[in-house]
Amino acid sequence: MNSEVQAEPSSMNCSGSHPWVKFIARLLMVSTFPLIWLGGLVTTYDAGMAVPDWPGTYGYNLFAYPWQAWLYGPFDLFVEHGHRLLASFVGLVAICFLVATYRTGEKPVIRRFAWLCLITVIFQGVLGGARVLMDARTVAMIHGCLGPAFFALCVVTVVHCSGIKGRSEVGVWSRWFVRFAVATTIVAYLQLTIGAQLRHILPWASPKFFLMMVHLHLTFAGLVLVSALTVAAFGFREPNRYLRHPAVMLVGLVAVQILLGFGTWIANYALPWSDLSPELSAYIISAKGYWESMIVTAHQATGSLIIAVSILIATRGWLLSGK
Amino acid sequence: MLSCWFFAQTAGLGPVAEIDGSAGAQNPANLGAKTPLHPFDFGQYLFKWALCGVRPQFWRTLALAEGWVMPRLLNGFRAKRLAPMFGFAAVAALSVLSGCYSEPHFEPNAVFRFRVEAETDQDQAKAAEAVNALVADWFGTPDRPQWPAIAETTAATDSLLQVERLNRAAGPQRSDREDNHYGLYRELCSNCHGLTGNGRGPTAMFLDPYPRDFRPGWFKYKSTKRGSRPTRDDLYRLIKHGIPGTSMPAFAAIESHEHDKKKNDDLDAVVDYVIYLSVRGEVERLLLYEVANDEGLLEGARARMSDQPAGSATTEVSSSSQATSTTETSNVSTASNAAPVVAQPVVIESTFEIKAKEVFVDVLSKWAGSQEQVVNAQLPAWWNEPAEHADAIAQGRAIYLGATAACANCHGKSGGGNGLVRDYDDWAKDGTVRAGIEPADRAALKPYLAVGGLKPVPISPRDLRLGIYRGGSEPADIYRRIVQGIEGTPMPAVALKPDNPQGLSEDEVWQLVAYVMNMKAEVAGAIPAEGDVASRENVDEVQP
Amino acid sequence: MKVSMSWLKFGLLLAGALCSTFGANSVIAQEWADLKMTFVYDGKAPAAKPVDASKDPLCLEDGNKIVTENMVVNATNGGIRYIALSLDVKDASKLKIHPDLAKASADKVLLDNVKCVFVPHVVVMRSGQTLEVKNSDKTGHNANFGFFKNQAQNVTVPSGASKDLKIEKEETAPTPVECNIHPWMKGYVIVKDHPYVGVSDENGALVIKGLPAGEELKFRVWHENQNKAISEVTINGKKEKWDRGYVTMTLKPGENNLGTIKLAPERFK
Repeated sequence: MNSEVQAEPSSMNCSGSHPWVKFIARLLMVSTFPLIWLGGLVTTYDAGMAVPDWPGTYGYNLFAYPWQAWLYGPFDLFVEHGHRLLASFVGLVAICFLVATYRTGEKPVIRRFAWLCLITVIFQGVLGGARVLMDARTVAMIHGCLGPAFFALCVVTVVHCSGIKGRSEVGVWSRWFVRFAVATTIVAYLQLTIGAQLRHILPWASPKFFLMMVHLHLTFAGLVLVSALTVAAFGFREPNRYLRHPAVMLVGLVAVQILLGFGTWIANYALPWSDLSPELSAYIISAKGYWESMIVTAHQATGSLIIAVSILIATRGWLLSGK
Repeated sequence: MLSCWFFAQTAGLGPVAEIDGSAGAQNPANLGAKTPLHPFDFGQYLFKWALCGVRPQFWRTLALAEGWVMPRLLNGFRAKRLAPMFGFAAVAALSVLSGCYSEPHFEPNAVFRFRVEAETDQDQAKAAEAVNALVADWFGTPDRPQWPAIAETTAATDSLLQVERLNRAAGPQRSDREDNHYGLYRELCSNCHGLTGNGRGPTAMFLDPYPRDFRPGWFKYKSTKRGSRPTRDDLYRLIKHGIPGTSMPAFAAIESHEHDKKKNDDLDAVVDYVIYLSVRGEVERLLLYEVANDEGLLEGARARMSDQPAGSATTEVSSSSQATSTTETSNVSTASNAAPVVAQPVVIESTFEIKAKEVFVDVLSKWAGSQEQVVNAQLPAWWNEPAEHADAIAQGRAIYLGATAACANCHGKSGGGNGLVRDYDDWAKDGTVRAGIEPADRAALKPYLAVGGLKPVPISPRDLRLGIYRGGSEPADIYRRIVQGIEGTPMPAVALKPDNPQGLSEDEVWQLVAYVMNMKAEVAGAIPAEGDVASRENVDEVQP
Repeated sequence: MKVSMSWLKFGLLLAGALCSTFGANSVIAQEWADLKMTFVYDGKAPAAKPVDASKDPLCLEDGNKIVTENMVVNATNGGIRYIALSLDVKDASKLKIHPDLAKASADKVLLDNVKCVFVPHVVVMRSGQTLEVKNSDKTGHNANFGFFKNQAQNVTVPSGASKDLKIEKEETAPTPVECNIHPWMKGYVIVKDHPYVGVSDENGALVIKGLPAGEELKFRVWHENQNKAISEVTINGKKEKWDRGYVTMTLKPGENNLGTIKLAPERFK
């Protein structure tokens, strides 16, 4: 334990990274979120197999695929190829980030983050390729679960680069604050993987498995809500705005997410019980309809956002309290 | 290796090979013939070989590598203790992948077998095995559908569906640059209706009513007579517009997503496939019934199976029909099924096979003849005359409450659907009541649930005041529901003149239709009804 | 080759002629048997359960009381009603049928609704006959037939009306018929290609007439409330196995009375 504490004295007197490193880290984070959204659309529109080869697109190099064919082609192809383009952009940013950390002589901890980002993004890309080449929905599910994890990693990286450490005082409860934020992150991530099980359900999965997963998903929704509320309970009294603001945001996101969850259910399976609501029971789902798709995709994207915000709180709290 | 491969990727800036996305790129065996050992193909080949060919070693190595790299990276975060966890997580995640792609199969009809076993008081494992083998030979698998080429059925088949189009809806989901979609059934239907069309997809338990099981050949909402099969148009319409009051979505967006303005027949392909699943399921069902009740047939079936070792016939047929290699690696995604399905000749020698042919011909003739079974529903002249229509509503009300149509017995005097019935539909009764099990008896249900039966849910008479008509809200739809009843449900066909002198005349049925369609407005008070609407809500006891 | 073919044809013709002659002879010489037996409940007769039909007052007019009919046992002699015994043949066209019974009657077979129960409770008919579903009640009924080989039907039968249904095919198992308006109403229809089906009366007595004597016949016994098939019976005090409800016997000409067949309570649900 002791040796570990002493392992990083260099990062103790940190006051933020080089502006360029900060910028690139932020760029990486900011461009990952639309990537997650787009990846969600790929699943919502079942566009995962719209391009049968990888890493090329219909025999073309990824970047050389005619843009007219992309923009004016089928919607599935547009989404899938767009996801690939944005993903390679994120990959390039990750490379730039790594290069930048070395060129500006960043601390080892930042460099390690840069390496981790790059490796994760490559691994994620390979998973995406495996999903296409093997045409395996299980791989798609793992690919979909790693995406938000990478997003969370970007957030942690950005916080580390921001030089927040020691910038301001924290409240007396910061230790508990961090603990609950970590708990929220873990529970929200597990929740996301359960959601992925539902979303990427195999056609030959048994109804009982699906039933179990739905119940688990609802249970974890409750857990996420409770832990997010706990974080908020600390957050509202927290004098430090770096912690207070995201804590408020977290509760808001969870509330939105629960609404989106109901929406997702209705957009997928309707509510046919007329004694519950005659209006809703008359509603016919429009398969691949615009709103249906957006609600479902927003539900999974908000899930990633919840994880990102809770890990943001955890990391900030961790660094601010001088850990 | 990876870097070389990526280099190869970036080096080639033009189209390496014209890949049409259908049969080409994802099949190294096919690619080899076109452009041997081009870096692009070679990279893919290596990758796939690594993924599926040498799975265990590959994944183990990758997991070990990850276990070595991650802790070193994370060293700075004082997370050394996480090292074993990373290794474990990597192994766990990747071992899931190592399943690669295994070809799915149609599920045998275990619930029906359960019913037959109850009826015959005999284990029917052998009969089921024989029937499943034959059905697999004749109809193929979810990835490689087949259609038996039997001379007697050619005309019926041609009028019913396009066999070669079955590839569109079968197999895993994919699409190409021309926006041709494949695997439509798995994209749009299977999550609820199940891969086999048994109404037992993963989500089935949550839906009310349960997704339709196509296999008995019973369909509720159609323009044809009760007991007949629906027409293609009936199925198309339900798929396109969905079913209000249920979880069945409208797939109109699929019809209209055509991009290059060519004729888009995706929904037609889905209709083909639904008919295919239904025919397949009904042949399985009827044949099992025959074999279970005739030991002579079973002997023939057993002899047939010992002649052909399991699977050999299927492999042979599928390899010839799909023109794809069946090695493990190419198996991964050759199932694109771009190759049109061709009707396959089948061996018909034994009494068992002759019986199977009879059953198939019988089932197919029902489907092919559905067009002749359409119930004529011509709107009466008065329908569009407001004054006469209002009269008809008043007349219809009397008919609704009267003893001849006896609507109120189940739907309630005010149409609230709270009549005196607690009943089940035929899909629920098939494995319960007809297997001697009382659906409400939870203990007795256990063996039924164990074979995969869905918990029977009571069917309730429709609340007509909502104005939600599952089978379509055109007057003709309601007319057909009344004169034919709803197949598979307790809703009976009304007694009609002249067949039944005490029954309703055609015009009276239309008056009833007018009244039923007015009920929503009547309850809402938009059109004043006879008597007080609010108080009528409370007197809903049945008084025939 | 040609010669041998013609010889073969001649042989076949001869064989055919011989067969038909002997066949005709055997019809003339055929003797017929009547089969009788009485089914008795081996235990205390279970009482019929009353049905709550209060929701339809028309069913309860004139003090009518409706009881369940799935287990009707005579309280005095223990006779079990509605046990069906039917001849089990694969191909009825090869079966020797008594000349009086050879053709199915052109009359309709009646299934009536009387005082909110199906009468008879178990209808026996031959394929090709017409089933007349009648309603003698004041209330409306429907009849929902769960046929397997024939087309399933569900018809409304208004008060005083009747509806004819042509039943084309044999049904392997007895077909349930329900009235969905009155959930307690349940009956059965047995459709066979031959006339050899018997249903036990209120004393448990069952008769099948005009069976071909001197050859092995396979029967199957069925009761709607059986607990799996009735596979064990006690005939005149002697236990016998009826595998899966099947019993094979060769009848002598004239009356064959199996006597009293006792069924243990555990044979029923």
